Amino acid sequence: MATTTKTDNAMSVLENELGTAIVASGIGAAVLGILVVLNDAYAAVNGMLVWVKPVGALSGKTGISVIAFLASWAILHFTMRGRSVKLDTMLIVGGILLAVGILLTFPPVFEVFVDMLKGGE
Amino acid sequence: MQITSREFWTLTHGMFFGAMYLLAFGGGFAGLYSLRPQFITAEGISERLMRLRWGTVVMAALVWLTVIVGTYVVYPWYRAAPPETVDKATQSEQLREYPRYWLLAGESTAAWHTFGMEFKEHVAWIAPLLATIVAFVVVRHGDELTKNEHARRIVIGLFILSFALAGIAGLLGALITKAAPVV
Repeated sequence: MATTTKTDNAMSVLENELGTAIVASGIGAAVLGILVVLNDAYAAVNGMLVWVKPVGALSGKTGISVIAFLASWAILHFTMRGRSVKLDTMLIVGGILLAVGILLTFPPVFEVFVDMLKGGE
Repeated sequence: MQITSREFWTLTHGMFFGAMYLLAFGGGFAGLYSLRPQFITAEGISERLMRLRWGTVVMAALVWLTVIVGTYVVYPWYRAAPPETVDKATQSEQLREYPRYWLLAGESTAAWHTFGMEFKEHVAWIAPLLATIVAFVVVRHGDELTKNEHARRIVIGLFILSFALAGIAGLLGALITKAAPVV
């Protein structure tokens, strides 16, 4: 019985940590995608994202997305620890965020949103 | 047979760090796929796990190095603006030193930047996020992955996605460099 419980605990920790990691990577990707759109839509945002001048706004976009990934991972990892969360639920959430991020880096997609935002001005 | 320092760093970014990451994928995939008790003995799993742990960590390091060198070393040369005296609307020999502007100056080449580089420079950065979480899970939970097929399939899926995104970025990078090399 004790062995089974130990194995179950180990599996639970694996699924918990895998799930939180997937959501964190999705957050990082989604933040990047959103920043790609906002950077092209608003000159003020572009100005704020130039962290390293020779690199331009790409430095801020990727810098913020990496910070978002690491920060959300740390927060999720420690706050979700010991909680019973379904891996598949986290996979769906993380998967949707990843899809949003990847799609918003695709020029034919992000240009539509940029035009929408600019058209609303 | 000489290469400039810019060509050296472009090669380091694409043909060394990037290519090594893509080449290592096959071994990593085979290792993760075969991590099943029914395929190999307990000793075999133990031996394979050690290689997988090292392998996934090295792969994550490689893809981080690829995007960092690409963004902070090569990309500034690609996007540098020519002086006012150079006509930005004509694909002259002078403008060739400024790849981004050279590509944009031609109707048949502009899409290499507006689509190719605009996509590659962003999507590439998602690959290291995924490679990092794969390495994390393999290092911390390699033993449990052998017993949890569902979790292992998810890890394999993340690994494949990371490879696919890096592959797209690598392919676009190779084609853009062919059209407008950083010299």
